[in-house]
Amino acid sequence: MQIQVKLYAMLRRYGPPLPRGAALPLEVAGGTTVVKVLQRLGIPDHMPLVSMINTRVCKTDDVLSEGDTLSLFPPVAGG
Amino acid sequence: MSGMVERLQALAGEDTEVCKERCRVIDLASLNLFAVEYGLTRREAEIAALRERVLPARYMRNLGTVGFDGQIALLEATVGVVGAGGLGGWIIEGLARMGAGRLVVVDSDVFGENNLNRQAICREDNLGQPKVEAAQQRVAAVNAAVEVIAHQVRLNGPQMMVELLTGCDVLVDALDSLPTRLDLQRAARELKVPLVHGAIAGYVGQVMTIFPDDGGLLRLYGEREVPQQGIEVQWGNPAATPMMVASWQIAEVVKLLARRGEPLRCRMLFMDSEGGTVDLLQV
Repeated sequence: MQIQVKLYAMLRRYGPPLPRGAALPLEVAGGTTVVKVLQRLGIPDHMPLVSMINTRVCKTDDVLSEGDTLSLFPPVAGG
Repeated sequence: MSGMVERLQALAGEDTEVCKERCRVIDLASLNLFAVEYGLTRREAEIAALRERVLPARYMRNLGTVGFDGQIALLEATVGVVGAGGLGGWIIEGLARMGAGRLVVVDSDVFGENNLNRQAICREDNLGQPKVEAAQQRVAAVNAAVEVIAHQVRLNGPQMMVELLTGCDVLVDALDSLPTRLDLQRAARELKVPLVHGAIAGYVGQVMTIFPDDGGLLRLYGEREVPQQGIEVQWGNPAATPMMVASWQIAEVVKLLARRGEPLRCRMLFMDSEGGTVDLLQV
């Protein structure tokens, strides 16, 4: 199945160069979890990040479905 | 009060066009005179003038976006600004210039040299001064109509926030730690007021307006253990990012109070000025 991955800010470095704001299309097996996608992209498991499937904040063991957009962005807490 | 309206009309200038609207304008000196004559504070004098459609000259460039009623609403409002550092300094400056009537400012800290690169109120000659005290002085110099209620305290839990921020119409998140932000959202829920969230790190910033029933930050970060800080530890805080995020926060507060436009509700603006992108994430 195909999903889209959107990488934000410094997480962009874990995807191939893409036009600004473009999503990365990824072919994955049915039943793939968020953590599997993170591993495939080479994102270290200790890296703090917020993940969302479509508009829903998700956990890394959540399962993706065909056509989902997975958004990954860093926690930002400065003021 | 006798003749108050007539006195205002006498002190105001000729009918003029401001932002395509016909009205009369009153300058600062005349407004101060009017306030003294009638025993009013500057804020009360400004509100009295605006009710008679006499515009204080200092708000001429506000009129097109907030209108007379919006300007009155701003002057009558109380805004809680939690944090008076990188974000808070610019937010306080902007809200004072817009004429937000009362600012409750909370920050435990004093200015240090590493604040000089980005914090609006921090200067070489006020290092070591409590941030809330400097904020009070800055606001008094910028807009004497605006009252600052300063609390130099370290926040400890939502209940303490509720006590300090009771009476605020809107809260602004200018904090620098995630767990404290989550507590602030809990406090805003209890107070039943909107919270304008902003956070920064390096080139990256985010803004979102959270209403009491919204998931907001608790939805974004609340499900797992929250780190104290985010990527700003690694990326630092350069000058431009807090200015940009604070500017969005000021606009959100003004929109809420003046009842104009659409807040960034359930939409988190996420900007990356290094990559030159701005995204709206549905939250």
